[in-house]
Amino acid sequence: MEKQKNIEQDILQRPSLKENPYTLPQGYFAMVEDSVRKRIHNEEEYESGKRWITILKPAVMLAMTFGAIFGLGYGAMYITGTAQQGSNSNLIVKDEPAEQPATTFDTETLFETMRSTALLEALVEPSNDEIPASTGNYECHKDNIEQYLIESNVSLITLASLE
Amino acid sequence: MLDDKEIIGLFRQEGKKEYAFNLLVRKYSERLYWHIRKLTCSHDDANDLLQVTLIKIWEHLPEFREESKLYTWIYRIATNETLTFLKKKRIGSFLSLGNYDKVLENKLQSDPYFNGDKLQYALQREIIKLPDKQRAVFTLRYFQELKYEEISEIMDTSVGALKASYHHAYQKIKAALQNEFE
Repeated sequence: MEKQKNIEQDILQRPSLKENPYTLPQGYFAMVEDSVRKRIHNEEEYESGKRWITILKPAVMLAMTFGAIFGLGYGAMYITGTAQQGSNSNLIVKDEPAEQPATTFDTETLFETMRSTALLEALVEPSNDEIPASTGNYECHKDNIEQYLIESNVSLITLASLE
Repeated sequence: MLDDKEIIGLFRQEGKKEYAFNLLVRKYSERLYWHIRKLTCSHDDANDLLQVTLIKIWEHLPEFREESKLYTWIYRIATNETLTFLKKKRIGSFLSLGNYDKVLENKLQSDPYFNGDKLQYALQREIIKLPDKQRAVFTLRYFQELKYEEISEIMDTSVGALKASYHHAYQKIKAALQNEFE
């Protein structure tokens, strides 16, 4: 009896307060079903697209990183002039003339060259004496050869190799 | 209508996933909507949160291990989504030097879908004044009439703490309404 009286006095126990005071647009829950279905399909399509991006992204990033590193390295080599040695000599800009490579030189080659340019004829005289095997039909005069070599700006290394 | 276990069984069958999910949506969307609506005081927010909740259920139902009842699991998702939403709104409101309780009260006042009398309006207004978690506890107990054990699973809080929280909220609202109407 006491409890019943307390409940009756309790304003929150009034049945009207437990009723739902809100209303809804008509057919709302049917619309929710359709809407959720569409959103799920859209998200799944988006996710499948995203999956490809997720798979390809590391490979693309790796390739781009390699490209960037190669580009930077090549750029640095180009600026410092290291790249020219291996590839394109036209791109070289130099203040000093390039050092001549050491020539492999021997007397055979020298006489061959001289013979082909008819220089040897000017320097040597035909002789009936024994003809050295290395000079063909001509006998070389030592003084003439020395004079020629001195005048023709041949390097000391080359001259030394003639000994 | 199928019970929860039958729906889950159907969901796990090949090719019946969508059908089972539609059954679940039909069974729970209305209850979830009213739970969310009473916390947010806005049809638009409730609609959006309900859809987000249902999508999460679709995504995570394959991982559901049946350690708890399906409906408490569903309610937990809905409650967590709503509480996170309210927290964000409160932070946004705080940063713009506003008061989110006032925003909620304005929403309630201007809600075209509110059809209650003065007493019902006063009750909703007093519920808005409660902290978010306490509001969720009060709503689940007072309107949805869930057991404390069920609310405990949903809110991940002890039954004792829930009882204290509900009692405190109940007394506060009762005092405010009695003061206004008696």
